[in-house]
Amino acid sequence: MSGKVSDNLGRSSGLTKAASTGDPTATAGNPAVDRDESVGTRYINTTSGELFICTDATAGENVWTGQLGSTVQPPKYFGGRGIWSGGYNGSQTDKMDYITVASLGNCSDFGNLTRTKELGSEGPSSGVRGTAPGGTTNSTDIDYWTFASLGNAADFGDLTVGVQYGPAGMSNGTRGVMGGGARSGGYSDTINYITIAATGNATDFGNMTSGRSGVTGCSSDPGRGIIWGGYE
Amino acid sequence: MAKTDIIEYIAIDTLGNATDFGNLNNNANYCSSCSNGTRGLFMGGSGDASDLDEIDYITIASLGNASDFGDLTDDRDDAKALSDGTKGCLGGGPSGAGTTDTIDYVNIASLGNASDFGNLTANTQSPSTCSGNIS
Repeated sequence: MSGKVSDNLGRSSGLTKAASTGDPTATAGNPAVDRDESVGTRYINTTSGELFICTDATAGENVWTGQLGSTVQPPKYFGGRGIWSGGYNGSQTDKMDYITVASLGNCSDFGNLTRTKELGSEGPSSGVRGTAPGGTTNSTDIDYWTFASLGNAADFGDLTVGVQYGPAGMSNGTRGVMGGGARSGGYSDTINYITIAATGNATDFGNMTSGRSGVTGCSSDPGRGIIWGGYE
Repeated sequence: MAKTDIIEYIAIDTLGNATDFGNLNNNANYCSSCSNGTRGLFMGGSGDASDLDEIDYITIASLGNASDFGDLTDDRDDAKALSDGTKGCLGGGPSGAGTTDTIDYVNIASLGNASDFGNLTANTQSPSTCSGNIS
């Protein structure tokens, strides 16, 4: 740069970072997490007018931070290590198996749940911490563990209603939500939630459209949870 | 008392009751699901007449009924699924040959039938599933 404003007529004359040269990309909608750019690259959502900057450039898993408060980042409610915990085959088990989802192959031992239990649930995940809610004989148990460290599960807290064959688990990476399952004398329509980073008991979220057992749940961006099927 | 084809949804950020999303292709109990954040898969389950090998899918952002994705390697109920955002894996559960240690997988973005991934450490039904970061 010359240092004189009158001499800096080019669009990039005042820029000092290679990743930010030129006008920002201007497109309707937010940048996608798989938009691979350098840190510092700018992007404008022409619909909302929000300016985004790439703040973490990881191929396929980039983070874009908007000046109006939006953040585009990879989902935190799943990850590359998958765990099956507990279950039944003639007797209940407390085993926890894991796989690396990207690589075909057999499971290895991760650790053990706090006790043997037959669950039939999905556990909400924060990406860092995993959970296993419910269990045998209408259990209120919520077990948890840290994915990165092989080892045994610990007690997280309790569901508001003890269930088995559920609950359907959902997560936005911060809040874990669990709905349905078989309870003593019937089927639960209760939806509970927890803050996954903080151990403690679950709190009431709302209700399903009907009480059902044998349900299943999954999650999406931006924060929609799906509860499927079941017996009512 | 009956098996259902209900699909309902919640907004995780907002406390409240669930709302109707659409319907599965079959009534099913003891079922399993996973997602890549955009597409949700419903895998197997106990149907009205027999265990199911069907995989249904929805686009989670768009309310509506499920469509056919492909088939599992065998009928399975009481198995549980997980995902890393690319692959969806279904492990365990009773099938025609009894309770299994089989793990099936699909690429969630591509319609098609499931393939063999590997095995659990033991035959298992009614586990709980979850996935997270390796490091």
